Amino acid sequence: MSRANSSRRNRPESDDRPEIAMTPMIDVVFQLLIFFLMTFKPIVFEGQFTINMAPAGSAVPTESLTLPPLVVQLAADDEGNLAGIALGNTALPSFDHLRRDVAMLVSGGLAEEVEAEIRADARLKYEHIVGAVNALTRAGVTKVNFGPAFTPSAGSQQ
Amino acid sequence: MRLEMMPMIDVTFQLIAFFLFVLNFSRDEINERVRLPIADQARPVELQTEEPLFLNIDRDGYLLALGERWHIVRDRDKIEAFLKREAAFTRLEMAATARRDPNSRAARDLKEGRLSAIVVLRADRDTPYGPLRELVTLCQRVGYYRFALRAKAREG
Repeated sequence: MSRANSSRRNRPESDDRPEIAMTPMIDVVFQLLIFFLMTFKPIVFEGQFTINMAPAGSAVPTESLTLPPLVVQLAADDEGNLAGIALGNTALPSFDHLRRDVAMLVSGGLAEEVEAEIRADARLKYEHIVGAVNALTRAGVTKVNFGPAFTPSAGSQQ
Repeated sequence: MRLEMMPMIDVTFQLIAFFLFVLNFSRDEINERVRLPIADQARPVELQTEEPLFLNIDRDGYLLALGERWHIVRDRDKIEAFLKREAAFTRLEMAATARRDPNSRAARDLKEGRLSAIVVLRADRDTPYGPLRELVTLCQRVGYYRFALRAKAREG
């Protein structure tokens, strides 16, 4: 022991530092970095529309509704693209018109009370359903229900 | 010539720390194959007392669950069994919440035989309405009544 101590004392100060093998650590660190770079996906923040949809015939979970629902009908072509919008029996050219008409109907604080029901072609793409929900939300109507899907050729509802 | 390794290692460690922080471990419920529609009125997702039920539906109208792909009409029995299992878990969570807070929504819903957990519908923008509506009906039969339609606030 004394011999080891004496030899350490005789060495210059810089030699006293323990040798750390940096290369393997840097290898691992770079591999980790490459892994994270390759698997990195930026987080896309998702939003949502929260809606209460009680099954038909069951008790309505929120306060009692006295107003009849606004019926929004959405037609589709063979490809599932939007082919027509109607509020009740009135045809509308766009979701912007739907928003405007619904906003007029529910003006005066009725937006909280009114429920809207979407009845759509079974082939209609979901993005158009969300488009309708988006327009209704912009008009202030947040109670939305999914009505029956219909197939125009058979004229029947699912 | 001696390379200065320390600043490089510092930066590398900071980069690794950054990637570790932004790593999202909860993405298992989010299927990357589903391309969400875009809606500017979609609200930020809020934390819920009960664990939400995530349902991913692909563009052909198939439910993606438990690593499988179920046709919503043909595999109705499998989907119903899956929903009933999830409903059982939700009821356990609701019972725990009701014990902690007897005035909570979970307590009220439990009395009325409903499930207070939100069903998060992550449907592809091209999913047809027919199967989607069918799936909503199956969820309603099990007792779910609160739904969240997921969308992206902007293209990205």
